[in-house]
Amino acid sequence: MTDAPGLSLRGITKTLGGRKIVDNLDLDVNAGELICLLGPSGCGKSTTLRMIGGFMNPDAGTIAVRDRDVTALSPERRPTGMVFQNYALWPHMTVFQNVAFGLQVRGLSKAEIREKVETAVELVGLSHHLRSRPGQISGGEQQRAALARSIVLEPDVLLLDEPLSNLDAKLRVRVRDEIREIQRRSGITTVFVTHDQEEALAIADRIAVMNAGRIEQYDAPDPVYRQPATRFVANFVGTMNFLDAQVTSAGCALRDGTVIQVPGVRQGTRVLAIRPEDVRLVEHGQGIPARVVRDVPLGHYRDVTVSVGGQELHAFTPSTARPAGEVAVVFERAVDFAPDGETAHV
Amino acid sequence: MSLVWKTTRTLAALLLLFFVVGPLLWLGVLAFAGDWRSPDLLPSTWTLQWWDTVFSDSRFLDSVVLSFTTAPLVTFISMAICLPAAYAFARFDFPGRQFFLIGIFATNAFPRFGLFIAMASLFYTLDLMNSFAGVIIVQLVGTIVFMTWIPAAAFAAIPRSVEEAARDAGAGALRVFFRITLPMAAPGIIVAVILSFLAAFDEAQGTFLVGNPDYVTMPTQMYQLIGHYPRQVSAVFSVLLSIPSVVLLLLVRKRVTGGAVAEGFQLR
Amino acid sequence: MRRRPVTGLLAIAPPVIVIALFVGLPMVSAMLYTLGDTGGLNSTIGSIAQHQHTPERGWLTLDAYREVFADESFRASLVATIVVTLVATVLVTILGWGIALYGRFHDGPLSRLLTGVSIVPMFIPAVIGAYSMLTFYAPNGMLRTIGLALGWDSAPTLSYTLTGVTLGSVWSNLPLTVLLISSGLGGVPQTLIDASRDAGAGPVRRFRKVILPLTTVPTIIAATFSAIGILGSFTLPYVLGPTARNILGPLMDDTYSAFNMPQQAQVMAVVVFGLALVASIAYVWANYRSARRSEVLR
Repeated sequence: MTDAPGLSLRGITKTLGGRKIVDNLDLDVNAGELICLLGPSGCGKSTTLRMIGGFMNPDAGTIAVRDRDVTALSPERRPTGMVFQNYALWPHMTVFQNVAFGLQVRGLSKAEIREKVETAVELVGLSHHLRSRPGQISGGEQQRAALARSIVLEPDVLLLDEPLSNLDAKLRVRVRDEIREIQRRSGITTVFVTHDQEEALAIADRIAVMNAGRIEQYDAPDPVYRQPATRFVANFVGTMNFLDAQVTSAGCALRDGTVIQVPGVRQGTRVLAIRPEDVRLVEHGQGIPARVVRDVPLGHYRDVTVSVGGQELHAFTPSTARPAGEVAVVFERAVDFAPDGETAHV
Repeated sequence: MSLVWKTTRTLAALLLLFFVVGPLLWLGVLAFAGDWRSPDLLPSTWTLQWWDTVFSDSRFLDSVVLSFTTAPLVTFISMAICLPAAYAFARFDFPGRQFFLIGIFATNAFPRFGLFIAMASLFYTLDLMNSFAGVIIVQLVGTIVFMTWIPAAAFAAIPRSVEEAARDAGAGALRVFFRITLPMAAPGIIVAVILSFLAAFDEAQGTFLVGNPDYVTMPTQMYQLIGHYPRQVSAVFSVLLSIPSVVLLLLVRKRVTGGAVAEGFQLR
Repeated sequence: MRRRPVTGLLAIAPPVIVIALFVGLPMVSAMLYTLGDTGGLNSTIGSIAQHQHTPERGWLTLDAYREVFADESFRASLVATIVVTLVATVLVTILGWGIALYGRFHDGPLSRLLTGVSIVPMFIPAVIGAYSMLTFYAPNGMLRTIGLALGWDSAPTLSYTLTGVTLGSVWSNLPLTVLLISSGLGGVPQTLIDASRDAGAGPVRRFRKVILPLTTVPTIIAATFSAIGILGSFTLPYVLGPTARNILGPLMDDTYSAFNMPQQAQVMAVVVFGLALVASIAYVWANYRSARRSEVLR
């Protein structure tokens, strides 16, 4: 891409109350890309977002938007637009007034404001609520009003701080897809903060998985899911089984001494990470011996817990099968980590 | 530009500080002043003689004793009659709820002085003039608005579900009130108690009208001091009179600034 | 809220009875007395008062009001009362806002000291506050002494002036104003302010378009409280104010105790009460508005 990067963070550090919340963080977002900052609460993702928006100043490092250093700019001068977790709609203004506010600040004419607001509100599908106040519309509609308020200003970077966390499960999926669609159409570089890995996998071009103020992995959803770079990522994104193993040239010895063959695993004391959908249940004697401990039907699939090599594993299997008693498992794929959580090897 | 703004702000803050604390500081210095000629910043001699004057005069001490009898008593009576009402205002719906709530407040808007003149007639009729009971009633009247409104807000702020959970756990209504509701409302109630105490302690006009000449509290004594004694005596007496207030202030500063008072004066 | 008519009414009965008997009843009889009624509770006072107006025909008369309003010094005091109340209320509201904003947006030792100290007057007995300001603004008081030391030769003497009463009213109403406005300001979520910064609004616009509209109700409540307090104040103007053309509180006292004209004094009290009711309308309206808004938000 010849375009300037949409957003780049260099060496961002923030200490609050003696604790390093964000630790020497680098991040590049391409123009027009939607990335997710994903991590557990307290990992520094929201702090990072607030620093990009200018609501906090980094102790060290620079923030550039389209190659322009904006680190010293206050929020009102930054080309960023933020959608807050609780939407932060002004309760005393109508939807129209909320969306129009930033345009009035910029001194646009009444006609221009009306036109832009109508376009933005139409984009988010809220045209029939222009005169409503935030208290009179539903959570999902408030969410979309907040989105319209940000994108109407055509920011270079759109920031979304856990925008779906206050919606119920069904609505969350719908609004999530709408946000993605609106972002694609408008082409705004977007940073989306979430603690919900499924949300991140579904919406992002790339995911930056954060832990303790650092980025553990920054990649497209598929590699993040299939090739987690660290044990933290493996554990945090999706469901993952971990098996302790002693790996020698003879194979991997599990906790109870069972030796299995997993190609490509490094030697020494290792932890094998296997996705439940990569654990295939087979007839007894056709794989690694296993015993069914629990079988939970979950509609379109079953979550079968099996005991393998002295540890329990989850296996997702089609709901038609009814496994029981002594069975066997085959691992389709496995990733291995050092026990202390070091880097992965596929 | 930003520096100019910052300096202006700091100067304004300091000026305000001077405006608020200056009068009290000045009075504090005055209480220990011996010889003090006008343009001097501080007295040229210091003395404790004004304190002697105050402490050796039995009238002053009597007023201290009386003030510290009436104010706590009034506060206690006010709690006893108002707290159940506050709870009812917060939790029960009954005819005239809004009317009575506003009525208790609105009667406060009638100028005290006019009220006391009118009250005097009633007190003559009830033979309460120049009586202890009369003084208690006059002081009580000024505490009721604090003791109903602020605790009512505190009670209303307690989620119903907290009480229901206790009922669910098998506690009876009284136990729920004393073990759950009252402790949770305590911060607001404490503020109300302090404000009521101060209102009773501070009441001078009505107390003078009703209690004179036998029942003279500290503030009514203060009225008589002003202009009749050297100003240092008034200053000493002021310092003494401020001590309970300052102690109470230090005790509840956090709670008062924490919003209990502000919450208390929003109608619900 | 549970419907408990009997329990509810029983519980509120004690304070309501106290108020009704010792405030409501005297208030009503005072009002009747101003209209010339000298029966019932007013018979005692009616028998000792001088220059009393009683109706020649019918039951009531407005003669006492006519006399009072015809009096030059009353009219001057009425104007003084209204002016002092308005000026002091506006001043104290502005100062209260300044302190509340400073406290919220500039966390530092000075701002914490200022917010802490600004509630002190609430805890100082009125007579002490008034007396301390009398000495503070006296010819040999702190203001002039410090002023002279700093080379300000014409530092004013404000004791026994209406300006002094105004400043004193600001002083004694500052705590509640700061508390109410701070609390209101504290209720404005930071994200709403952040959102307006994000949209590009500078400090002035943030204040005017977001912070102020969201704190209208506490501001009005604070201003009403100040206004009512100042209208009915007695101690402060009595101690600190001028002998003539003071505000109505001390004039009521003179009329009653020096001239033995309780009816005329009560007329003034009713006038002040009327002004306080006018001020209370804003308060009730503000509360009604906030109740409605919180319902909508819910």
